Amino acid sequence: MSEDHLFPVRIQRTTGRLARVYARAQSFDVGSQASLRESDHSPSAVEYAIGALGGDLVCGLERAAEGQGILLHAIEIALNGRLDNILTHLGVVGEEGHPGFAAIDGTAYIGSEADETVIQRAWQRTLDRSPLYQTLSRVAVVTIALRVVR
Amino acid sequence: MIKPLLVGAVIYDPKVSIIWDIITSFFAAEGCPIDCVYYTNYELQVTALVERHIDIAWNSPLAWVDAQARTGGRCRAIAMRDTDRDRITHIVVRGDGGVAALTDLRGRTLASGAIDSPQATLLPIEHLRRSGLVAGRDYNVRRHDLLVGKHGDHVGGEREALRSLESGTSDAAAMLDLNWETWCADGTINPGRLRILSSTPPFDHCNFTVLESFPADRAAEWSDVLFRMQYQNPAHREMMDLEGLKAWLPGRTSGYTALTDAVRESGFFERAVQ
Repeated sequence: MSEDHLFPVRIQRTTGRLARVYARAQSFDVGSQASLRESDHSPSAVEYAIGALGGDLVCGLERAAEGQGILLHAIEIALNGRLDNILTHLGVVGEEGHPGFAAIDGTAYIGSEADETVIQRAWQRTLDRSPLYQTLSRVAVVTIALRVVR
Repeated sequence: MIKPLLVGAVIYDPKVSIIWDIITSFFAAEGCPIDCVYYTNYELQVTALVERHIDIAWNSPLAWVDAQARTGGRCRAIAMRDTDRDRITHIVVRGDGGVAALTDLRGRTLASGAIDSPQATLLPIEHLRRSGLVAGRDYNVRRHDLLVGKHGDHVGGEREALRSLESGTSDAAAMLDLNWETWCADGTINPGRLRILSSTPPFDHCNFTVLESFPADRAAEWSDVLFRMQYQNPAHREMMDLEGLKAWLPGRTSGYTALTDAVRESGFFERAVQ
């Protein structure tokens, strides 16, 4: 096992009920834990988690494709996350279950002329090497279909 | 720091929490902080009120009747929506269904909402009883028990009852006047195919309930803040639209007689205990 590498992140409460996250030289705001409103100033923690998974896979697939000499015109992933019971997150007395993710599903759309088998192989390598996928898929059902668009 | 009043609410949909977030923020801004406690059903909420875990309960009409029964009538209704007053339930039939009068329902089937829905089950059955028709003896009831425990807050049971009528599985369906109007307006109901056979007398719906022992000055202070919410104010309108009201009004208890009778006649709470 390799020596641990730490990823330090600092999070501060800011005005307007926001949490500001500092990671190296960047920062971003977390608006809430899991928002049900139509719009907010900042994404919620739940949305960041789903977005982080998708971002991880987009970056990972691009890297995997480059490594195998596959030309990808476009990558887009649409994901939906579902909590086990969001009412427990709201603290509803009498509800059962937990507020964690139960499932994340969606589709990865890949624009490429390359052979589909080759793309599938790159996708599998992406999943195998993805920190977020390998974390979340151990606690929730993560199902992402791959669709190659010619 | 002022200790917040604890207000109970039953959540039938996660989005309902948005309403309470807005109300909570409004009360905080008015210097009268509240904290909302959510319950999965009204039975738990009424228990919490009776046992003084919460100060105020946003009660369904059935929860009001339950709270009154459990406290020997020692509850007060301090506020309600304008739309809680003088609601009616329609008994709707198909135009070509061969049901021209209430007596034609003999031997036929009424589609109702959930077992604990005042507007879609208990009150229409009581209305028919007062008209001489007894459920199970003179006609059948096809219930649509969606989200039992939430007292028909969820419109799903009434929608299923409507579908049952439209498909011919039932001969009549009970629905709240507001749902009849909404569904006629949005095309869910074809008013050319369905018609209102009969309507219940007016009844009242939800109210904010406190125990008689709750200090009158605190109730008055809280109600005064609530009544300051104005539909004309865009900041308040989102919540008021979501909750379906144009104004908060003082609570009144004159509109629960029929439901109290319905509960007694049907032995509703006795059955629930069994």
